Amino acid sequence: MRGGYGVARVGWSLSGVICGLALLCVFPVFADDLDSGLSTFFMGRVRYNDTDGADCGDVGKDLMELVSRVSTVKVQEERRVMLTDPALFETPFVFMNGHNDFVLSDDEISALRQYFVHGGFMFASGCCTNPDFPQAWRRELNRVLEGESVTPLAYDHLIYRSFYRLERVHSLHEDRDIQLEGLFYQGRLVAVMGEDGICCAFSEDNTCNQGRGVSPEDGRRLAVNIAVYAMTH
Amino acid sequence: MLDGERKLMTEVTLQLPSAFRIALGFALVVLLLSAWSHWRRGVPLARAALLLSLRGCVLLTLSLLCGWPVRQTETTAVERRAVAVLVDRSESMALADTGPTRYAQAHDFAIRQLLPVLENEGLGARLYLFAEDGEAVSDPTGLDRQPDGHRTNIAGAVTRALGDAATPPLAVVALTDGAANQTEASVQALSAMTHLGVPFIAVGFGRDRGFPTLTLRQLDAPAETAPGASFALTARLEATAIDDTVNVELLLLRDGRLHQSQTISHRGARPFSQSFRLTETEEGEHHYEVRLVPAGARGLRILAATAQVAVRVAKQPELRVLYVQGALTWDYKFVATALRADPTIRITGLTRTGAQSIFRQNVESTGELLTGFPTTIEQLAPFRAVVLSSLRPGDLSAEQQELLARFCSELGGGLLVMGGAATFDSGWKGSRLEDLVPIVFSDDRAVGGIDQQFHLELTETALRHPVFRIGATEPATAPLSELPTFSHYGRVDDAKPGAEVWMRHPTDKGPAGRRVLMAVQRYGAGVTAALMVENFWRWRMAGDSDPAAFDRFWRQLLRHLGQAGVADVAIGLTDDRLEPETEVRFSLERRRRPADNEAGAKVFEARIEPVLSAQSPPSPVSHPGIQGGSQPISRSEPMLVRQIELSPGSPVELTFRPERPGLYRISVHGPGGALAATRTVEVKATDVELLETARDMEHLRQWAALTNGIALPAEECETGRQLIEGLRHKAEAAQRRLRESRPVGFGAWSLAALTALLVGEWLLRKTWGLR
Repeated sequence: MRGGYGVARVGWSLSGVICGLALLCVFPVFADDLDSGLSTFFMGRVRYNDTDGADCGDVGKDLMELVSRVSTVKVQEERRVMLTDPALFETPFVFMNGHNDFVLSDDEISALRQYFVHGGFMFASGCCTNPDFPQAWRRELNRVLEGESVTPLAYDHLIYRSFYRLERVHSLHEDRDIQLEGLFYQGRLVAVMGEDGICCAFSEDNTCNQGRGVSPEDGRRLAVNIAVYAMTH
Repeated sequence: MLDGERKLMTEVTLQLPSAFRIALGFALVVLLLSAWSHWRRGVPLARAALLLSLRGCVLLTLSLLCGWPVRQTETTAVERRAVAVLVDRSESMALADTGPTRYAQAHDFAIRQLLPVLENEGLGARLYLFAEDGEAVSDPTGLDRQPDGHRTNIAGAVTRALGDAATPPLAVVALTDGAANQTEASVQALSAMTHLGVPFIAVGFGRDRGFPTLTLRQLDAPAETAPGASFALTARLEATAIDDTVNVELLLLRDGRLHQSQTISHRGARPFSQSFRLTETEEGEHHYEVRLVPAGARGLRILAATAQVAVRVAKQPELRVLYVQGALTWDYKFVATALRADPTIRITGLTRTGAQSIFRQNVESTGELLTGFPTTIEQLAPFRAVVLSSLRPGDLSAEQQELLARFCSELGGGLLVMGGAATFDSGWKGSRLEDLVPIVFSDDRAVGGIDQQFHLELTETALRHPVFRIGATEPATAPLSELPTFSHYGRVDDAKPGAEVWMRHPTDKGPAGRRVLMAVQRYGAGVTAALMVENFWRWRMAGDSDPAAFDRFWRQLLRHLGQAGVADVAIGLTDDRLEPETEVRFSLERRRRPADNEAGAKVFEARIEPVLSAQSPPSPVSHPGIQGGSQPISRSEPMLVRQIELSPGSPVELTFRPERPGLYRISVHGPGGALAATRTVEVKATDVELLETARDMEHLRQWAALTNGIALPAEECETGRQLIEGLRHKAEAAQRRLRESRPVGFGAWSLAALTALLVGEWLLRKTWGLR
């Protein structure tokens, strides 16, 4: 009896291993590239300096879900990439956010330049209306493309009409309109930044922003517009 | 029976004796049954015998016909006492492989070996010299000629020899190097020799390895280019028998002045090309000439040292592209980015972003495409090319699919369908769109497989196509080696017959070989293409790639698709080698336009005029700078001006005869004088004789084998007697032959006889009251 029980255990273990291997074959886990025939929108999440690209942790997923809800675009997971990582060039859209100041190395600047020239797009958002990140972003991105600097995007820019028609986006805590800022390469918008906690708005419903910045609805609309613009221009 | 032939015997045989026996057996059974029937009914013996004999004749005749009777006649020729001797005096026979020239060797062989032996054997000799045609020579002294013929026409000489006298020759002996370059009449000549029983006896002179030659065949360049656009001017060269590396210099002259030069090294015998990269900033027309200058290559013969072409620099016609996406993907963004540098290509995007929503981009009027994909030909007509991305036939109505078919076939529009596995599945089968695309779909609903990373493999056809000349410098296809890997693609079974395959998967095989990833075909007046690589935009994003190459590819691809049918009239050349003092044939075909409400003819004016004529052989090169050389001349009197009626779909063929080498322009002007089409062609004299200088024993052996003759290299045929012995044996065997069998019994007389017998039996039965 005891021996039979041991044999049965071995049998069950082997079965489990075989089933597991079979499942791995059917559902490959280690998909290394983002070049999937099933998805069209995938995002890189920029890791820079000391951050892990994890501020407002689920913002990437939330952004992709937003896009999928309002369109036929299927979504895939986000992937965290360093700017010097060759995998950067596997994704035409990267998201960068944070609270604090940062400095990009020369290699990162060079990689970003190449990324923009090749057709990549960056969406950046300062978290919780903290001014340090937006200031750093403007300073660092002004180093990327010679002769080009970050400029405000007026409301007649197509990005405000790429999906939703946004006539104006008003700040929640100040009496002013929110304006996106952008960096251009040969007339093509390659990077957009919102300093008013857009990611906090569409991802955290502004709970981390304590009612500052933009409304969640405006945040969601801006995010979708930016994503659709990036895919169409 | 031909003249000089004598009949030996005639016999009738059955081709199907077993069929005859079976039919005869059946006939006997029928007769026995008939006889028994008559006996039972008490028919008088005489009457029964008469009826049975009539029926028996019918059945016997039919049985014989079942056996398929044929009449065979064996003949033999009356004794033939003359041999036709053909001596090749074409230019290739002037070459001296080792020692005397080939012609001198052939002449010597004929005079010292062959003719004396023929005389000793009591055989007469009919002498002929041949090159482009055959010429009878009355006596051996007539063979003292210079070998300077421009062509080698063995077939023509043979035909002349066979037909010159009432009695065909005993054999035809050809003293030649076998390098025939005029072969139109070969089939007739061989057929005649076989029919007459005249063997072909050949002695091959020369060496089996030809002389090294280099020929500048032609210069390829776009007929028209835009100011500021880089284009390639490609010299097509051909080398034969070049064992050692040779250095040659290619000089590019622009309007008579040295513009660029390149030194190239080449070895081996094959065609090759070398390109110059040019950019013209001002509108106008320029004449380009390339000169080939050997740099000290010993023994190398240059057969054609110059080639020229005219290129018109003008603003490119604007091209509108309609890009339709079934879903929001990255492809449109990157294609639109690629086109930004060319303001003459305007792209309009139509994307389905939701179940009920579409996204329009770059429309040119407020209401354009407001309801989505065009539903009328007028809505589609402003575009020259349509791209369907991630779209399947089910996403368009039957009317819209038919509209696309008309857009391509009648208006000459271009169509590109692109996508991955989700796009290219069996859902296309049976759709109207399936007819347009150059690929064959699988019957399986979804052909799947494991997607692994791979490198695209471009075919030779693609690498030679202007669409893929995407490098800023030569070689213009170099950026293609930097393509990233891809992993997802649509699996189709094959390309359609006649389609060009441009890309294949390196390893994945379908029913017809390695999977096709891109194919192109003509469809009516337009061009359609299919690209099955998903996420093609990754080429531009890849860190190692050159975005400009990607951009150039898309601009060139869309122009190719959109301009295939842009000209109102297409000028086609029938011949690929154009030479002076020969007829040049070309065709004009008018394309249908949406404004052509009536399909009637319109009157066009066709003009042919020289752009440049070579005044003299090019002057020796001394650069920097070129002294003298060909200069473009202003328009001289046109050679041909003709008013012709052209109807859509009905081409008209014209000819002209250029007297001198040079560039000629064919232009077609529509009603009101507007230019409808233009094309320049180069007419040049190439020494065809020296293109192939190797002795061609294989060709001579083929002739000998087909006529039951002999082909020997000259070094194996030291004496004429050896040749004559073989000649006699072959000649006798060839002359004793069977004439073609002819069936007998199948004709009007047989039918009439059978009918008469049957009618006769019927009348007798009726008269005697028998059933």
